[in-house]
Amino acid sequence: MSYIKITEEQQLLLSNVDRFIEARIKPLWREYNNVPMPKPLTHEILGELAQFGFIGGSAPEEFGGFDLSHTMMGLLYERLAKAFSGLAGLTFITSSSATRIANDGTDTHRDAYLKKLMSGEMIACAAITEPDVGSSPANIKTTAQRTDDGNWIINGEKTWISNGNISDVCTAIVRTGKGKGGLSRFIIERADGYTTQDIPKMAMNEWPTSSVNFNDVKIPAWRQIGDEGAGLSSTLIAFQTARCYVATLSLGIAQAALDCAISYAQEREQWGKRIGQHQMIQEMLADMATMVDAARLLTFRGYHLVDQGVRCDTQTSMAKAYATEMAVKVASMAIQIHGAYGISTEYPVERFYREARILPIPDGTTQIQKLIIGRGLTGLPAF
Amino acid sequence: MEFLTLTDEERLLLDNVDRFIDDRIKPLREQYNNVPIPKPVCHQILAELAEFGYIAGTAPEELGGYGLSNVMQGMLLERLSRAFPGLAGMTFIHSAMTNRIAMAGSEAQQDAYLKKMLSCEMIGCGAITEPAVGSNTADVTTTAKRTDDGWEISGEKVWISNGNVADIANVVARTGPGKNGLSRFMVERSEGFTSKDIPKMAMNEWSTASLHFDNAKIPAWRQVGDEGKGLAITLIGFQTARVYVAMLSVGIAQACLDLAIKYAQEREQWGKPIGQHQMIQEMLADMATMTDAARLLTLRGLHLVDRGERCDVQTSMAKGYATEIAIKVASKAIQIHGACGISQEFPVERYFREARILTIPDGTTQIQKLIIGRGLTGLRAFN
Repeated sequence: MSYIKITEEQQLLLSNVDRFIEARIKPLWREYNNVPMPKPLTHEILGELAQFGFIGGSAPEEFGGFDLSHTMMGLLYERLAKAFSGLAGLTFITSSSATRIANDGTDTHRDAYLKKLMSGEMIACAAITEPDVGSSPANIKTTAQRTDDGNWIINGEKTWISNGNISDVCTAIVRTGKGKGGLSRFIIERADGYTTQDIPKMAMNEWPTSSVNFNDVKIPAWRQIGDEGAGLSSTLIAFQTARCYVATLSLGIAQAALDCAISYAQEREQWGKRIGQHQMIQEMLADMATMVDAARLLTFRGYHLVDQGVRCDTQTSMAKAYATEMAVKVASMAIQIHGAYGISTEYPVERFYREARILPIPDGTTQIQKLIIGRGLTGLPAF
Repeated sequence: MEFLTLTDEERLLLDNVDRFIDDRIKPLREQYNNVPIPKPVCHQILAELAEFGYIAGTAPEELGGYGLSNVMQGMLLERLSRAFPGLAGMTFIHSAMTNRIAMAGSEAQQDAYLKKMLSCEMIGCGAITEPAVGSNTADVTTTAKRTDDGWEISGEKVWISNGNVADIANVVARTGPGKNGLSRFMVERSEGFTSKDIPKMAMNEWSTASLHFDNAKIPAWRQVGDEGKGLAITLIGFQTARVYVAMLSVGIAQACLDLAIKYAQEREQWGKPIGQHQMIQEMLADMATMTDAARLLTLRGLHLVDRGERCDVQTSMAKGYATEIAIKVASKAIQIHGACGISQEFPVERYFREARILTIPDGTTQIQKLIIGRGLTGLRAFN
């Protein structure tokens, strides 16, 4: 992508990552097909990915990060997602938890968790969604009650928590007071006593999504992260960046599906010529490639703005909505080009299609993204 | 992303251009509504635009240009197109012809024409298409026959942008058989071509004309580039032209989006501005996302042209996508305006008709997809 300026050092990193993915990640994608990866293996792989900067790579070096731009992180993640989107999702969730502890945490938080997260020794999840709280996080019901000795007791149920079932540590948003300003964030360890259960889904079961239960979970006072009552606003700002990463997962899936469709169209023959020489097939391929490139440009514009530190809800919502919807269409067209083989589980495209279909939902549905864009354009909320 | 970063000087130029467009160009759009702009006015207004770098602004300063990047030239063109797409088209064609003399003309050609074209004393057009030669440029039948002291051009060209206001035409004509038998010539109107406007459904401010060459005698020094290289030069020229046509459409789409946002903020139904209804917000969000995707694809194309990279696939993506989405965006703008959208008292119906034109010139959408498909698969599906 010659429109993104990268240094020779960064180019070297990307080449190394490409080799690692080819050798190490691609076989895993075949081995763990829609089943959870065992926890010990997950730690091992995360530890290997961490060495390239995949976990908390944007954090400053003094905190153990690599000082990478989000643009650079995006380039890394597109590569991983193209090979194994579920694993990329799992890594991204741990990475964003690490980044937030690096940026928003105290020295005590950083000392306790950063090294372990960035080495793959600990896996993180972030718990916002609840059974009755999806797109509107302001309605969160899970509570944190202060005890006489200044500690906290957490009670409630979270659901659809990415990484939940394999997590060692959970950053949860819970209610410490009334209304929008009554939400705070806490770091809770599995050893403190939260329990999890996987929610099986139509694809990407390598990347667990789980319910997380807090039943009188006692945690010490120092686990609160960020200011009391600032839980919601900090979450909404973090969504801005997260949306670019989810868009990148879709980008990887779509590029992989497009690549498969191109090679199939070059090989398969009908009516005496390769199907890639038929105009209708070329039209599908051209439309797919244009959508993939448009999504990539929208996504990397989002990273660029995040790197510049400017507020960019509208632009990152455009990236998330467009890229995740685009990947569903592109994967579907890849199936069509493959004919019956497209729906065969011997070929990869049906799996890409199911994986792609997941991503217009998390981190704000397509509809929520459009409401954010619409509000940005008109100044009028329509939620 | 490199192409999103502007210098202070570039920003200042864009601000100045915005003011000029508000004061000078917007009234012209009202005055010349789907009727040809009189030739003297064309010369005058092109000369004023030239001062901002609109005419061959990418040419080096020693040749009379401004040393602008293609990215910058594209940003200038988008602004003009938002206000007056037909005038932007005329400007772009004259600029491209001037640029060709600056970059590829002989010394004699530069001496004779460059100054007059840069000052817009002369208006240029490029003549390729013929009654039976549309997408397949290799079949050009207009002939150039060698005489004792030059050439004699005979044949008919159609759909020539700027044709009826042009003082000079850059003509692709046949000097020998086959693909390598095409060459380019500069022919002045006074030497024997006549033109006739072809009325069309919109954008009649921007002439498209048939050009008749009846044994037009021209001296030998008017040949541009090497004999037999006419097709190759034309195809490379298309690469750049396509991104500028894409920018015309980006301008139209942005103008429609701006109008639709404003209308949605002002118009009330069921006791609130229609912009607060979710279906309206969805239309606006889709329009804005498509417009931004088109602009990013186009700027990427211009950036690759600036770097001197071959980029047929990317520029065809820009042209194919941007010209098609401008129609969709303009149509949605009409929908948001309700009955006012089809009223000639409001500007959107005019943009809608204008948008419909641009999926045709400089390679139809279908030709762009065949170029993209060929680039992706290495397989030709043109015939």
